[in-house]
Amino acid sequence: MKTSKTLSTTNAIKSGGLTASANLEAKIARIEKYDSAVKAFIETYFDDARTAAKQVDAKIAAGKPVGKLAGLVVAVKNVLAVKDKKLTCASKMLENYVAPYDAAVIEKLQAEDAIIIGSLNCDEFACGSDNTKSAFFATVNPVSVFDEKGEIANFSTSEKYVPGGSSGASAAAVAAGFCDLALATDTGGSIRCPAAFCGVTGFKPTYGTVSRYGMADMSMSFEQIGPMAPDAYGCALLLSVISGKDYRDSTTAKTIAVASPAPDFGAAKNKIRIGVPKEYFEGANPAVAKAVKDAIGRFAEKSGCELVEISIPAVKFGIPAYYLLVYSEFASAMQKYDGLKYGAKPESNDELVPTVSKVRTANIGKECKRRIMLGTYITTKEHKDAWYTKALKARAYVRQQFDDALEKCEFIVGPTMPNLAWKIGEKAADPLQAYLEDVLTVPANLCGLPAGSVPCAKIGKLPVGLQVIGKRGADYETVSLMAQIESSLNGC
Amino acid sequence: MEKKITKQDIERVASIARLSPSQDELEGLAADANAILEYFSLIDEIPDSVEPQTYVLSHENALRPDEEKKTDPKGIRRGFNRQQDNHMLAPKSF
Repeated sequence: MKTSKTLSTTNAIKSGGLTASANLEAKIARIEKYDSAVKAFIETYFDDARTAAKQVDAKIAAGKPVGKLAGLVVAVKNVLAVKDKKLTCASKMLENYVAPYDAAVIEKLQAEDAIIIGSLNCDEFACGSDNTKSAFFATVNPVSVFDEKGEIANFSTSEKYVPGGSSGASAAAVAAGFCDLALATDTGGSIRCPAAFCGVTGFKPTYGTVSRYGMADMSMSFEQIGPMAPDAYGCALLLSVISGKDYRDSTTAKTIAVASPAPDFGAAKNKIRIGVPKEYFEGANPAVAKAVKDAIGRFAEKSGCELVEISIPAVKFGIPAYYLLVYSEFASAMQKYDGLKYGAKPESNDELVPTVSKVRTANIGKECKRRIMLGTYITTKEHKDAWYTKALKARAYVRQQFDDALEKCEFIVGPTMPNLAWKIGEKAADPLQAYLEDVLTVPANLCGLPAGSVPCAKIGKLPVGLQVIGKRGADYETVSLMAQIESSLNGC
Repeated sequence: MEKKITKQDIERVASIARLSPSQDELEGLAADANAILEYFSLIDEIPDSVEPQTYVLSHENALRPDEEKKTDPKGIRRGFNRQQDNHMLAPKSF
């Protein structure tokens, strides 16, 4: 395994070489200096973080046992509830809503002595692939801000690239050095896309691995909370903390927590069969396809893994199946935002229906409205069979082909995204073109498979991500392979 | 794809979804919906014999320990936009 930044930091804190407070202050200093250019944070919790860091330092000084994440600074996507902090979902609808309790993943972070530093921007209600759909501001990809050393900010650049989405700020915060680790969510690629665009590592667990209690859901049958980190070790460490059974989320009923990274994490294993689907390269930008193919080839040569060319023709049904089902589930999930129990305050309180319609129309953004309307349309009695039921069949069809492919090999690899990060403002006019960017990430969500992205190359200054998809439940093995790939590529 | 989606279709759907877009927005939404669903009609190629799948997991009840869980209603009530005597106030519905 290559030297892990996360492992080095945690070892330094636990051995007393670095205090949790000093680690935190270094992150706060970078945020104060550079977040006006990156625009990752919706809210910072510096005072609470300083108190938590002092408690960790006191435990270590007293020789008391500390948690797995002792002193590591974690930032969280603002769709996860942190008690007494704003839970906005990057929407005007919830701009001033304060969470009354902690999400299950936040409880777990605190139990393992993590330092939670603040909440991160995203596309509104996680609907988007580039962070431009936040109701507040667009997060900027750190490649547009920092030089190679990560220290000199270029505030005046006109070439501002998107960080990907919807968890764009989670990836940007890790890449900018604002935190050691970040929590994000992935419904159709929302962890893997920004990981690829910002040059960090991100992982979407098998569906049902992480409790979604306290997460503002976008699409209940797809979404998973997952880690983002500078490296696969960081993802594995955070995953081992947040995974496991939680009686408050029935999807985790059979879940066993993913193991902590063992000493042989990321070690080479001989004769793994890895499938390379030709459909993952056919529609990709040729430079991206070549960079990923080269990286896979270099990895196979060093590791002795066997590469097998496979075909999964059902990949082409991924986008329609995914979006039609997301529209339906999202329209249902959004019904609760009516401005009464919580959320934006109605200007009038005349009669129920017009009051609710007015407050929803004024405070829900364009892409969310589009999804609500389409979801409502395709689930009406007269259109359900033509769209919703057909999409459920397409989901089964895609899943069958991926399951068949994973009978022939242990993992599937290919590009994470078909294209490089685009400039802020591009792809704003045509929603379909934006949706098509998700073609290589949505299949893992349709099938509930674990999948992650590791940086594998740069084209100009723009990072390229290599996606690894594993078998359902093989989360540890998938992140371990990601670590092995990282090592073989020597720090791309 | 079925028949083209009209502005009137969108207007009806908006009413069901408790949204009230402007006339300009209705035109744009109808155009976007037609372009999107035209592409998505690709799924008509899926064989009818395939069984629909709603979920990737087999369902199982998650049972919590039979213990009383105390919650603090103050945090919940804090979010209410209008309240009276610890109750949420809503506009009249008829």
